[in-house]
Amino acid sequence: MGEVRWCLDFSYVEASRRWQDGAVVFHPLSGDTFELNGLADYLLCCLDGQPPQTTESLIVQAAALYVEIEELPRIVGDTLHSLQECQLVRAL
Amino acid sequence: MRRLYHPDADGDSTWYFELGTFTVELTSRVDTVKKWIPFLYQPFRETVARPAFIDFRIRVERSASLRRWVRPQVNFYLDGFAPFKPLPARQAVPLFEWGLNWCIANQYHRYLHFHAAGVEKNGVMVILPAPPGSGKSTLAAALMQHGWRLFSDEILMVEPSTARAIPIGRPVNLKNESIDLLHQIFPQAQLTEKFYDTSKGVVALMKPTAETASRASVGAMPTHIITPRYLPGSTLSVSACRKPAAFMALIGNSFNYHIHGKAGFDTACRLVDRCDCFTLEYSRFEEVFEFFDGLCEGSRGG
Amino acid sequence: MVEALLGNPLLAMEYSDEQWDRTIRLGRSANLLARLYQLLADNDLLKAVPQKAYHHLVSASLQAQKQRSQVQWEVKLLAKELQSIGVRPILLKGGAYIYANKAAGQGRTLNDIDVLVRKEELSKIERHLKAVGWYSDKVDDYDQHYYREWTHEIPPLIHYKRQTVLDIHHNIFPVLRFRIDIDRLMDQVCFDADGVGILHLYDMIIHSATHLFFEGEFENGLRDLSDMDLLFRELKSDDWLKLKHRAQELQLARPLFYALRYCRYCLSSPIPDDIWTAKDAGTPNALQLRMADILFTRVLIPHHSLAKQPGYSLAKSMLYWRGHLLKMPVAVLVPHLLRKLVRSIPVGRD
Repeated sequence: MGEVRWCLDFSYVEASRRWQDGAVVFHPLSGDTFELNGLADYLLCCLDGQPPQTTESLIVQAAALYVEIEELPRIVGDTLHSLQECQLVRAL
Repeated sequence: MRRLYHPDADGDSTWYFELGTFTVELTSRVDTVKKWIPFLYQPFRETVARPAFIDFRIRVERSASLRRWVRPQVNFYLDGFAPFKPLPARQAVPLFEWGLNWCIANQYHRYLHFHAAGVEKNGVMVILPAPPGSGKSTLAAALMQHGWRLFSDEILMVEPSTARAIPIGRPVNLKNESIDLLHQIFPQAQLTEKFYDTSKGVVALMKPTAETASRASVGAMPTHIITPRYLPGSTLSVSACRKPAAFMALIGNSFNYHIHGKAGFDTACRLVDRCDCFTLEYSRFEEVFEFFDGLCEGSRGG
Repeated sequence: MVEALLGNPLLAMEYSDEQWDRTIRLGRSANLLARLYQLLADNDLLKAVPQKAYHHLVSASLQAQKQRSQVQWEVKLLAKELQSIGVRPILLKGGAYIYANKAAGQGRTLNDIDVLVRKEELSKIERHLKAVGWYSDKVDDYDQHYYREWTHEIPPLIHYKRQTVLDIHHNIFPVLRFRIDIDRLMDQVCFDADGVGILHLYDMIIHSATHLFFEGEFENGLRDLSDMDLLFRELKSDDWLKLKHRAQELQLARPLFYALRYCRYCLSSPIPDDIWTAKDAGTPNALQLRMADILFTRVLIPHHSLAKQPGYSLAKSMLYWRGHLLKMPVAVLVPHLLRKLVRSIPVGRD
């Protein structure tokens, strides 16, 4: 997935609410509401304002998370996939 | 809530109910309706004039087919429109109650509707969201008999701009074993006869208490969201619920969250923000009462 | 009552509670409550509405708003999906009014999204959509056959997750009796950057009129008339004759004639007097016109006991048969209706 580019369009995430133990997001276009897991929420936070250009740079950004380093690409990939399914991020 | 009764010339009877925010007209000539509707809605104040505007105009009447002699059925009409298939005539009273729930849940979106029960005492207002079969009606009925004010056993209404809960204080719909159980514990409770073989099993309706009926137009700010689960033989166990999980459970049990869009999201956020969220497993009412009364004392202390 | 308010919203200031009670009942049965809300909001008249009636209008409006955003979202997804196989869909009716942000899309509710595509692309589209989550619940062979052979659409597709219903047409009217030159319609279609097409305003009106006056069902007749009323209001003074000529060119002058006549009659639409003369193609003769007046004025109402006049049921069934006869030749129609009748008889029930 090295060359896959991700674009985070925050107009999609007009409404969200974060509590200590997780976050929920309202997607205004579809009217759907999603609960985000910690990683997805973290990704949305760290991507805010600075969309990374490649999956690698995204993984670098997400490396601050306490996940086993070799597991990271897979978990980030899965999470991005689920975010994409909720239409919260789009692949370019 | 007010009520008014009109016997019409052709054998129909018409009742007008003021249920907090709703004006309902019910017309029927079915005997069980004539018997039990005045009983169930007796605690509510009487009205004198026919209301000029009616929110829901309902008829419950026998199907006019040959079947009326063999296996009589009743139909529910909302202003001439039949949203359901007919039911056996003996279920006319529950049909009216379920039908009115349907009207509110499907046609009236002034409020956010949650599939939840709601009870209030001394400013402590508890939302009990749960899917059918979790015992929330039974729990709500028990708490009402224990002195809590019932907002609803089925549709909890919340005003979007303020996140305030709005009562409808209707009769409680009891099912199967819970009917005898409640009658045993609360001999003073007033119930209708049992209606057999409904889609929900045996059903009986409990008349709202005077406290519930007399303050049916007084709202309250929710303070707790407690998801109940009846677990036979268990001792009471309460655990804190993660806020996002409480949020998703709440909107998952809503009839019209999707219709309110962003305003619905914001309202649900406000509710979850301001409420303490728990899940509750129980089997004995004494323990539940102790816990709920504790919530009241806690709030007075704080 | 609803018609009067649609024609002149200022009446709202004078309505009593009883009149609002009737208006809400009639408006609900005609699927026009959300439109009424919009009209009153546009004219800053909502404050004249009593609280109780107001909440019913708001409820309907919220539902319509929800549908509105659903349509916009669904069309976006659909256009993207079809783009991948090189197809640009053309929206029809409610979906088009909403997507194109027409006044006729305000407070408009719908049951399905209607899309027009070229006939030769139909099977490719159906195959592709079925591969990406759409299914058809008309599994019966006869239904499938009926749709494909005698109508201008394929069986409705439903999205497995979102439950949206999509009606894909290859013509705006059943193929058999009227050979409407669909290419002439398509030539005037305007596509946006997302590849979504909208009929030209004239064609939009003509299509709506054709749909209402040539089909046999009038459950939403008044609503459809109100759509056309709002579309007519977009026309400028030099548009009217062009509209008529366009209808004549497409050989659909008769339904347009009726649309103009009954919009004016039922909704007081501001339509000039002199656009149609007795010599014009499409004008019914005196007898036809009397018959049409008797029938159409009885069904272009809210279908509610408060509004029905004597002769309503007869008019309704006569127009139903007329609609069927316009669609299919008798040799096809009779076996079709017989089959429908036989299948409607319940089997094995008490």
